Amino acid sequence: MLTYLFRKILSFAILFIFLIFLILLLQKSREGSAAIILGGQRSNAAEIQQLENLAGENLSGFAHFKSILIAMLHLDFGKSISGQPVPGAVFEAAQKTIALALFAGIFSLLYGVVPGVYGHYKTRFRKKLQNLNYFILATPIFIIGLLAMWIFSLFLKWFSPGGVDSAFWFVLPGLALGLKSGAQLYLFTDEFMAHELKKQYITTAIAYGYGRWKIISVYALKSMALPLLSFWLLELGSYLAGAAIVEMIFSIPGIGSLLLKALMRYDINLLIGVLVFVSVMIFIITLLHEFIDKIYAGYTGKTNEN
Amino acid sequence: MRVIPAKQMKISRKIFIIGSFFFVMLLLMTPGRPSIVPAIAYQKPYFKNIFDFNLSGNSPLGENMTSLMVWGYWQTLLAALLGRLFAVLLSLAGLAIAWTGRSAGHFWITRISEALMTIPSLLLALSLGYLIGEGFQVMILVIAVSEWAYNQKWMLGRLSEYKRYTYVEASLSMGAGRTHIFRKHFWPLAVRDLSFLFFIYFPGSLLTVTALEFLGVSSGSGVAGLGSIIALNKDLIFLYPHVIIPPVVLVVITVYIAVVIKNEVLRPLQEYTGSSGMAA
Repeated sequence: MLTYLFRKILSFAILFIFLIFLILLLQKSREGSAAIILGGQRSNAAEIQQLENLAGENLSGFAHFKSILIAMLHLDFGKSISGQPVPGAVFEAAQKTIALALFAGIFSLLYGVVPGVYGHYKTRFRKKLQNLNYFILATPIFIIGLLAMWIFSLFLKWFSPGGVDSAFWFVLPGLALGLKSGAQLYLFTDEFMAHELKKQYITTAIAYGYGRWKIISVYALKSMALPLLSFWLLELGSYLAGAAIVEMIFSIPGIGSLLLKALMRYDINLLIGVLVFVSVMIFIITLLHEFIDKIYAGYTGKTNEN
Repeated sequence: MRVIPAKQMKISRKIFIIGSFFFVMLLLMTPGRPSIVPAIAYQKPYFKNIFDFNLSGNSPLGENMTSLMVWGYWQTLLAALLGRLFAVLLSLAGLAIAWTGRSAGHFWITRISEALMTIPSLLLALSLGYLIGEGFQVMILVIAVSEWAYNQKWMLGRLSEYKRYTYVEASLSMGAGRTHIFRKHFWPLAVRDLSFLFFIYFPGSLLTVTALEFLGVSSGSGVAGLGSIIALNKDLIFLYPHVIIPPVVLVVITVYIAVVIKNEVLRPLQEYTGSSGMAA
């Protein structure tokens, strides 16, 4: 287990170095600079030069790459161009995104699993639910976010249209974020249930005279738990991407907004910090997913292909 | 001989008819390139006349909305299609390198695709879009690179299956070169698998393009994509609903058709032709 973990972390370290190299390469080839953004239109050449020194933009590509790697070995992620330490800025934003992702995750689980199971109990709703979820899957996340804002904030005035000042700021963006993955989870649950209900042990349970609800909720649902958890974990990773859009619509200062800010302001340290945070999160999620997959393989003797 | 199930045939025929009608209507409706119309035209009520191609009135800037929407639609669709095509071609090239480059080629292709997979494709596309700059080619490149990693990972899995085919093992034992095996045996299998991948991930590409446009990655062509039109007018929903509702409807209809084709036709077809993919 330790060897497996060590190999995975080593592999991630290689990927991590490659990632920083790629970001730096693209940033160096990009037009414009952080110094111009900081200095503004009225700054002279000397001031721009000074700001470039501060932002590390005067260094050559390789020297900059080396300096970033050495600093990171000492756990120094540097400062953003506004002077704030990068870890502080990232963790501050991450709190909002994690709160949002957790709410969205719980909502998607409820939205996906409950109708997915119910659709097999009352089969006449199944096709309608399926079509509804195809429709949700076909709707871009920003349209879901905008519709939620138009209906619940601007028309019904139930929630605040943006910001993190109100107590339930995460509800509307969380619903917008979780609805799409909830639809994915619904389709997964539906497909898995349909597959599971054809199995021999279910036929035996029916022959024993168990009720349909008991068969579905106790036997089929139990065998679905691990694959469902594994699928849900993979979906959690997609929240980090969706958060960029939802945070922009609802003006939430989370990881997505921070990434956009870093890109627009040529803030290389902040950009690396955000992308490293995202990749570490995805790495942890992938590790958990593989771990669950191994448990599932131990139970059934096959990998979780779903 | 394998026969496509009757249910799938029925659904695909229905989707083909609806989809064709939808695209022909859009083609017929494609008016001239959007431009600012004289101020007097701004006063025109929408749905005024079907023949002057001004079905949905003008935007707050005075542009013909139908023209803006249809041109934006073609641009978004083309970017997604070409991006997808390049992602698939990159995967084919990656497959060739992984096979002909022996273990070193396989190692590097795996590592690079895994590195790109540690960042969600939308965030990667967004970062690349801002870092490379604006342009239609950039949009295509961004889609291709951000989606390549997942395709490549899938294709590397398929490569290990191809290698186990008896006729491939026989060719190798008879001394056939790696390039020869790729050209004669892997190429047809990979093309079939990749054409399937092209369609199955197309809805995702379309959603990524619209999301990128919404987040400000511009194609730089002077024509706003559907995502940009929505982003520009999102605060005007109650004032000018005719400006924002048609692009929203167009995006949803197109992705819905693609999702239904993917789930109702392609997935069952994949299961029918073999659990490991089209090549079985």
